[in-house]
Amino acid sequence: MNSYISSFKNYYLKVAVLIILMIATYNVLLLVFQPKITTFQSQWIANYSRAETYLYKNPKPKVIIVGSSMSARLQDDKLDRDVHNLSFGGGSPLTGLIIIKNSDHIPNLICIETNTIEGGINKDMIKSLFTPVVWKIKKYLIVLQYTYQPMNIVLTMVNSRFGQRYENQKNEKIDEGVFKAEMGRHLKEENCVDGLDNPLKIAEIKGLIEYFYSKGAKVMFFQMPVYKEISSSARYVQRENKLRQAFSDMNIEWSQLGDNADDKYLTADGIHLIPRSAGEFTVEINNRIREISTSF
Amino acid sequence: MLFNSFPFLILVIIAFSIYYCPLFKNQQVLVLIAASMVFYGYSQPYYLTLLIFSATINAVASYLVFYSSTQSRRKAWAIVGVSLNLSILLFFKYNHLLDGIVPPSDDVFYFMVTLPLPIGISFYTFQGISLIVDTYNPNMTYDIKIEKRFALHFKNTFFFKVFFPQLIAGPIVKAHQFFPQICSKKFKDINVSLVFKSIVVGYFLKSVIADNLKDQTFWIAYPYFEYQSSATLITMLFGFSMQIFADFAGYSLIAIGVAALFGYNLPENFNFPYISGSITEFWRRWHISLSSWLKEYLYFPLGGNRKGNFRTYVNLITVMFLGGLWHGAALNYGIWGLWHGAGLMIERALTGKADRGKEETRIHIFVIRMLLVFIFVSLGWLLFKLTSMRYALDYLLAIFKNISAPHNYALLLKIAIYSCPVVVYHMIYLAKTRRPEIYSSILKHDYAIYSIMIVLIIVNGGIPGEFIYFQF
Repeated sequence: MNSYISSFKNYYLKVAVLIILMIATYNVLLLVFQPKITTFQSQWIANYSRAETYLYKNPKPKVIIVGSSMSARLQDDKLDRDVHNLSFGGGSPLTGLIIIKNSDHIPNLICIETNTIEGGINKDMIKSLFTPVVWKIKKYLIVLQYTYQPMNIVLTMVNSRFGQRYENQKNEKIDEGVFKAEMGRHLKEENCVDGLDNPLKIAEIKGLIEYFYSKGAKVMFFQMPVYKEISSSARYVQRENKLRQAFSDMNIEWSQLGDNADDKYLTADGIHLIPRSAGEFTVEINNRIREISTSF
Repeated sequence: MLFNSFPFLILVIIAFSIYYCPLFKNQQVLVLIAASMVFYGYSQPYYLTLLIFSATINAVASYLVFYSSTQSRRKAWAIVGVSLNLSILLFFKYNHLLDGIVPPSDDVFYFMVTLPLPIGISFYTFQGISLIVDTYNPNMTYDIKIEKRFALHFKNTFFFKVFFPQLIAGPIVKAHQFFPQICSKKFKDINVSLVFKSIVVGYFLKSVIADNLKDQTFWIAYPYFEYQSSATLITMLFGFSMQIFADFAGYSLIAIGVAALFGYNLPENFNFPYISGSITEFWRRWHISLSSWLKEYLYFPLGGNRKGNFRTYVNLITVMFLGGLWHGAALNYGIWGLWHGAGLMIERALTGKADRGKEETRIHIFVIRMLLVFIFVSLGWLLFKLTSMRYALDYLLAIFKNISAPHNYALLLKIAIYSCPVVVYHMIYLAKTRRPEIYSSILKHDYAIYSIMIVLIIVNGGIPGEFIYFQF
């Protein structure tokens, strides 16, 4: 009986010791080497990583960009150091705004992408990022952050070794078949119900903006450039007018950067910029942010 | 409430602490009932009434079946009980078919027609039917004790139906498997090894494999698959087969482990299905609780294989078709069922009686058969992922059309990496039966394997997603 208890204890003790050793070692290696993760398993993990980088960044950024997959294509290396892109693939600006609010940090300027401003909030993501106690522990036990998952490290290494050629090709090539099919889908959405017609949605967005105003932040609206056939469609123009009307009573900076961009920028599918154009637009928006920031 | 959520962890800790506290020694069943109500009510509190109603039907029907004085009355109550169960299931499962027919209005009927599917209804309804049939049991094969005091029988029935580890997605427990286990449990009798290993492997399969693979197989959806190369499409389908196994088997293992924590043994639900050398064998290894339920309560009563070849084929097709519809009231599920029914039928027709059930010892034939069965099953899974028949056919066409499309190497790599553990998991099982010396050497260091799995759960868990079978 005693030997049974003893072997039982030994087995689980071995398991516990091994777990602690592995996690501690991995955490130390991450803190020492601080790998720069550039490739993620999926756009959703990339979203979480963006959010975590913001939450655990020190010092906190002075300017934050919130948006969807469209502004998620802005290139971080072309933004100033105190600008953080909190846009999410498959997400919306509102999710970014809630994250900023919950983080208790108020930036000087929040740039809100208006292309998808009425998109829903990703409540599961918010819940997961702010799990009680765990979200504070993640600051020190960085192994718990999605950013540093072993798979992301493996993919970053593989991509740095083999991925450059593929990335360069992507920069210039637009697949005509994909472009046509996606354009067809976007133009079909002409008849869809517009979220901006929902007064509750408008009130929700305004409520968040007013919260940030009350804490001393400035807000800038900007539009990501889209293919001219979309930007000149009746629904798009109508949407623009509704947006301006809905927020006419608020002191919001309206950036003209993405408006009437037409042939200046190229998209892969009508709405998402190809890497080269995304880089160019990032420089433009960064310059605009600098202009506004001189008044802080 | 998801198994991989913080509230679930808190619930189990609190329930466990109260359950084994000497003060509550005589109220253990009530403690688990309370925990189960919290578990179920957390996401759909309004459906607790349906759960209570369903349990009441089964308690009353099984009581009347057992204590009725004549055989004809027993049979009548059994028919009433089973019919009521099926009516509830059919209504909630297929009410959306009426949505387009019944005009929108404010009345109760339209409200009922548009109600969403209660989580777990397919599972707990089948359990209820099992109780009534096992109690009726004209051949007296099972000895289920139905308490004379109705209140006590109601408590046991309610517990059997709502016991939270298996409430939402199985394993489907039969009454004759569960009722004999209802008794006082002691802390020292906990099978710690079963609890530990089931829960660790379960969470590993769910959190590390399934939750990460779901992000990769997302691109199977329309319209994304249209642009992928043939190799990518095939790999994604392979990945989805791994994902659905990891998701469902993972859930079942967690359920088994958590139930064992409270002293209850749930039946095995997956037995390394992807090493099956035949479709018949696949259905003895995949979702065992459902296939054995269908066999016991549907296939055998229809006559099984005792009424000649033609009738056997009809029975196989019927059972699999209904098994497909159990998953949902949609054409794709029915076709999936027919796909497997046809496969079983053809396999039976081509296999001589002497060869049925024989283990294949020639390695190369074994591997070929295993691959063929895997391909057959994976093609069927496409109907689970692409619920529109048109998109499923387009996907298959795209495999032939997109040969020269550029490969998505990153996706191929990720699916390959996450599929490896499932492949290794099955190979370890094969080693157990065919290379016991390799298996023994793995067992000597299994503490390291479990440690690595726990570390990966912590550092490489995917973004939690709902269990695929929750939708059924």
